Amino acid sequence: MKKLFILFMVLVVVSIFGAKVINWAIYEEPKTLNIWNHLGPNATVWNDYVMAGKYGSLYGYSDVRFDWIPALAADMPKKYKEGEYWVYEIPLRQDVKWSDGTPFTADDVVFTINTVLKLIKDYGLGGNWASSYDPDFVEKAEKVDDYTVKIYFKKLGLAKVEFGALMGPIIQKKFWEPKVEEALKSENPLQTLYSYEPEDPGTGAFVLKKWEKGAFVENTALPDYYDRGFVEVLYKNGAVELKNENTGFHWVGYGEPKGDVELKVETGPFVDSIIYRIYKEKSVAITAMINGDVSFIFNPLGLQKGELDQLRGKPGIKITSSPSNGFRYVAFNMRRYPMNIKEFRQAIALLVDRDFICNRILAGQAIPVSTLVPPGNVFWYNKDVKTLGEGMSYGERRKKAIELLKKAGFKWIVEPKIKGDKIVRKGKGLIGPDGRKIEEIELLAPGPGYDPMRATTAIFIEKWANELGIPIKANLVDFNYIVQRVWEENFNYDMYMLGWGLTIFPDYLADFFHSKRMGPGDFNTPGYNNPEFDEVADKFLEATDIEEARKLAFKLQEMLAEDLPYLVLFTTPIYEAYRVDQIVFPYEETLDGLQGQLGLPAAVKTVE
Amino acid sequence: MANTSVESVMKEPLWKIRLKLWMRSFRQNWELFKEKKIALFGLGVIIFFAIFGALYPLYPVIMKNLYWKNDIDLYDMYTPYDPIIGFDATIYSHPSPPSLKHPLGTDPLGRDVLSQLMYSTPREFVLGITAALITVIIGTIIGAASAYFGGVVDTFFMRLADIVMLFPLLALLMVLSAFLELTLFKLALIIGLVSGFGSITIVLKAQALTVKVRPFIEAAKSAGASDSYIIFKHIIPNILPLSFLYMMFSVTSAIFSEAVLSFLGLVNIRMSWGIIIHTAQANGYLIGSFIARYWWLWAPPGVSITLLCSAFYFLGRGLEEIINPRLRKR
Amino acid sequence: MLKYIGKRSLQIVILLFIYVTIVYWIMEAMPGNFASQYVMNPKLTPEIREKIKQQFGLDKPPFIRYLYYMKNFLKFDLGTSFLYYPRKVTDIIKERLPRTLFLFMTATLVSYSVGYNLGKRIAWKRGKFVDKAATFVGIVFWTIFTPLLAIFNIWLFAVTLKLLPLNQFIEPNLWRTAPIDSNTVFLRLLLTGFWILLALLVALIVASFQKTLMAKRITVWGTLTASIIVALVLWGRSGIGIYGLDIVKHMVLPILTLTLLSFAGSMLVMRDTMLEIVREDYITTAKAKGLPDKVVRDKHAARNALLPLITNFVISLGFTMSGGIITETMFSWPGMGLTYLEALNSQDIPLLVGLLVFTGIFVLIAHLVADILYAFLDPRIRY
Repeated sequence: MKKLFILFMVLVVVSIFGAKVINWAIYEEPKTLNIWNHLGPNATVWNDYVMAGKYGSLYGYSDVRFDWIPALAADMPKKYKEGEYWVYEIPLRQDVKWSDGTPFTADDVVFTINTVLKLIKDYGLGGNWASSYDPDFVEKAEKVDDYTVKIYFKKLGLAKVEFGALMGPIIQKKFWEPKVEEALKSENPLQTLYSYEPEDPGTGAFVLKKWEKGAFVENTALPDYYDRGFVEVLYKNGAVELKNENTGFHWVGYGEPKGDVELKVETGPFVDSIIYRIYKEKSVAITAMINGDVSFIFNPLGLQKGELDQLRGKPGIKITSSPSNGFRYVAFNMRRYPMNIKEFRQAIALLVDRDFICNRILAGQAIPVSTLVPPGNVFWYNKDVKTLGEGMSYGERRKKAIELLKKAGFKWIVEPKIKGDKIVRKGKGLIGPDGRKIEEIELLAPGPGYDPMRATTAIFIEKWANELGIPIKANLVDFNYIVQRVWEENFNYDMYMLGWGLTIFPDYLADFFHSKRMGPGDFNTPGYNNPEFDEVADKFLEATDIEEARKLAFKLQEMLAEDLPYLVLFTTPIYEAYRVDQIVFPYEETLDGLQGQLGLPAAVKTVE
Repeated sequence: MANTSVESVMKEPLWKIRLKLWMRSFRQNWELFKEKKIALFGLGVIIFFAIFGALYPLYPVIMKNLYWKNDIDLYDMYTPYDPIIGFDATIYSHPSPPSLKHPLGTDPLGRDVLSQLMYSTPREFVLGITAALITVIIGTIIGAASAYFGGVVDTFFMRLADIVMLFPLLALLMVLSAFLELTLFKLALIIGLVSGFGSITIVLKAQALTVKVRPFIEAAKSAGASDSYIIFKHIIPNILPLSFLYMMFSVTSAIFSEAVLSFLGLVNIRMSWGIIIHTAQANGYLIGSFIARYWWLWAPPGVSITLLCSAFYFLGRGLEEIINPRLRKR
Repeated sequence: MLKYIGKRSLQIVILLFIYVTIVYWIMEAMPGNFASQYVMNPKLTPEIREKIKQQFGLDKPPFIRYLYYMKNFLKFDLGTSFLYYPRKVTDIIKERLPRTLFLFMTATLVSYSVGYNLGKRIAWKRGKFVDKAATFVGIVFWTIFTPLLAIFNIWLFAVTLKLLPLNQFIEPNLWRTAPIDSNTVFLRLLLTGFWILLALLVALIVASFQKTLMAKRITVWGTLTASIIVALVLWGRSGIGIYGLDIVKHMVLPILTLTLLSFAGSMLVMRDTMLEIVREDYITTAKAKGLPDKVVRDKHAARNALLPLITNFVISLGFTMSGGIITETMFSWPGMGLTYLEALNSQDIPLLVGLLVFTGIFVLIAHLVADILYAFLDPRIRY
């Protein structure tokens, strides 16, 4: 009764003031809303979701297509050399206002970049700050006039410049300058910085209104948001048009703004408040959505099969599926025998029938992937890379695997025999080309508690390998244990299975496999050492033209598919659901899903 | 003279007499036991589960010959059937409801639920009984000894109990499960040892204290009984009913702890009742109205846990009269 | 007695030290460390990760870190959490504690009262239907897998019957405009509960001095009713009554679930000890004296059967601190239990050790109180 009464009151209030409030569900409380902390040691996705785009950057991605477009900047940068430095001269938008009403100017940009660089170099600021504003690349920033900035770079490279520093967050000078000074005088500057309340103004459409610890966070929309009415138009011919008719801002790029429109996204904000409710238990959040208490759920892993089944067919609920930018994989430790033999790795690759695993066992919850760039990352994905064993039947795969092993000089005590599609005789006792018997090969994988998909896949790999006499044993252990063995014990492993969540610009192609990253604790866990690869990778990192970079990225994927330091397994699409009778999104499918776009808080509309 | 009369009386060897006496008291106790329907029920359930678990190896053999004939992809799914990866490729959508092929249906990963249940049963048995036995034996002896001796012995064990009670069992188990692949037996040992020195000693000691201060203990001491005699023959039997009660708590707590740990995904056990429920939950089948629709995913393990644990208690209830004659109605 | 308390307190302090050390080293033994999670971010190079580790002091060897930790511990400083850097551990505990305390203490009280009442009744009527039924039902609930019962209860009461709120501990729509935060309300609720209990205790003591049954009943029940009314009035007039009510409303479902699950424990312990006592001489005497059944049951038998029950109760009060991790998860009641789980999963050593030490102190004190109470209740026991 009481609840009804309260609900009634709320509805009355809502109808009187016409306040449009939407409720979204999150599974964890944000750790921090302080930007220094969030891009430092306490980064979580939940912080991101709740910050709802508070901080802008000079350049950003277009919706769905991820074109590189100006955000706080007004146009593409002018690039030239000045002395020993490369300079990017960037015009800024003149209509941007901070949420406290003050205008956004070049002072803010210069302050941000120079302060962050100083904190990184002199005080050890780490985390995502350091990867955005990399002191090895960025020298300093200078103001030309209120709306023009010059950024000086020591070196160039798409990853660190266009997709790095130019996409870094900008904070307000007026608020932070005194605070930073105060922090620097304190005993532990970084700790002091992290402890400030997140009261600073942002350039986003929402401000934090209330954080009821443990229960919910509420953001309210800025009624006089500067970019209200901003429109982004994507044309089928590849052109992108940005305009704000209220302020007169207009930009066009990548072609002529005519012809068919692919997508049009309007910025509001169209809601008055967003309440992020904290549900610790997934099933209750789902029940809440069915009840109508929440209209969208943030779930970085996407909805599970059972949850989808439950939501399907419920009135008012729509389910969407988006590709995710990540994959699960097996890594071979190429510093050890016999993982260093290419034919061995290829044989294992043949044994793993991704289609079977994804479509039957995982019931379509995973999509087979064999390249280092997932298919969802359309621009960078090389679809011409051949997958070993594709289209082959069970028996054919095994025959080819045995053939490859024999070619490399492997022998068996008991050789496996295949007839048609049946294993007539199981193999036993694999002997390497050097005449030594292969002892047990350990495959470290996460346990069923952490990830049942990987655990099951590992057990299957064990089974299939054992059938051919390859002595692989799947060890299901804690995730942290794998991290310790691989990264902290200097690559003490034979094979392991983990996953990656990736960035759009695939600089990881180089980082994960370059020979200079083979050191302990570094990215190149397989220990892949190929001078040819290194050369192409270096060129890729140094490239400044995006088309050239793309060609090089394609070449890198080809080489990796041939040499197989990673055996990429599958990617899991992100399933999301929302209440169509409460909210409307401008689009539903995009790389990493709606939650990857933070739920599009400035563009989501309520249903009348 | 005396010798011959004794010899003539003792026509039967001593051991036979003992056996007969024992059998008579056994039959007496059985009569007592039978009277309590609940206890019989408990015993029945336990025997049922024991047989159920023992039959496990037979089950896939029977099924293979009856229903699991076609192995479509020839991925050799059924030889021998492994409830952990045994995947039924002939049914399209998992989890599938109970059918002839799978009497309790399949779980979201395509595995036969009944075989999962049977596979885990003997292990759960071992888990519960081992942990409970270890706990109660250790707890009872220590409780009685602490109460009886007092002083340093008491202080030591009580403080030890304090530390053990605070002991983050959860953390310890997580640490261990990271290194070892924990089987239910190893888990039972750890749980048994840790619980045995814990809160059970405190409660049993408190109870033993009330026994210790009774007049008959004084009487026994002045009659010259040794310490261990008093402890084992007087104190312990009087606290045994409470011990038995705690044995039931222990069995439940051991099986429960494992289920909870598996349910939370904290421990890497390959298969157990808790894991079955966890699989259902992790795949999102334990929501709202799904509880009714997908009942075979959670009801078999849930009911099994309830049945087995309660059976142990009912058994204990039946035994309490036997152990403590003062409780007999007559 | 005082000497005994003094001795025990000293032992508690020593124990705490041993405990902290053991716990600390177990946590250290866990594979990986807090910084392991950063490995999974493809943008963070080893150099950057090293810098983060330095911030947390993780680059120093474990023994040095242990010494630092103990040094701070002596100053009652439980350190800074990694997960919630740079918040202090005590700060985080202060935030989570009231929620857990209020919920679980109330639940324990309710559960034990139900258990006590049922237990003494069924022991008296041993073998009859009531005994069998209550035992059977109790055991079934005791052995039901907690998450299943929680899900079922939520589904039944919140979704189908729509009687109780679905989840969490407050209703966001109501609290959006609240002038104070939930923690303050929790603290006030705790305080209220404490005063009511105190009043009850005083009433019980006064009642024990009174002569007639009627007088006793009036004192006890009268005080209870009066204090509850006073509390309600104060709350109603304070303007934040509606928030307190909201929290209490959200507590009903978890408490119901917890009570159902655990009443069998206290009920059966009560029953079993009563059965022992029923055979005692003084009960036979009381019955022979012609005293009414209920009086014999309550005044003579039940009082003595309280012993193990009280021990259990006090000890489980100590454990309310850690909360029930499952209950907290299922009902989205973010308290100490969930924090513990979180800290365990991410190896936030300061927070973890801090939580355990906190719980530890409570449990140790609870044990001491139980021992003292025991001596009061059974005059034959002396230390």
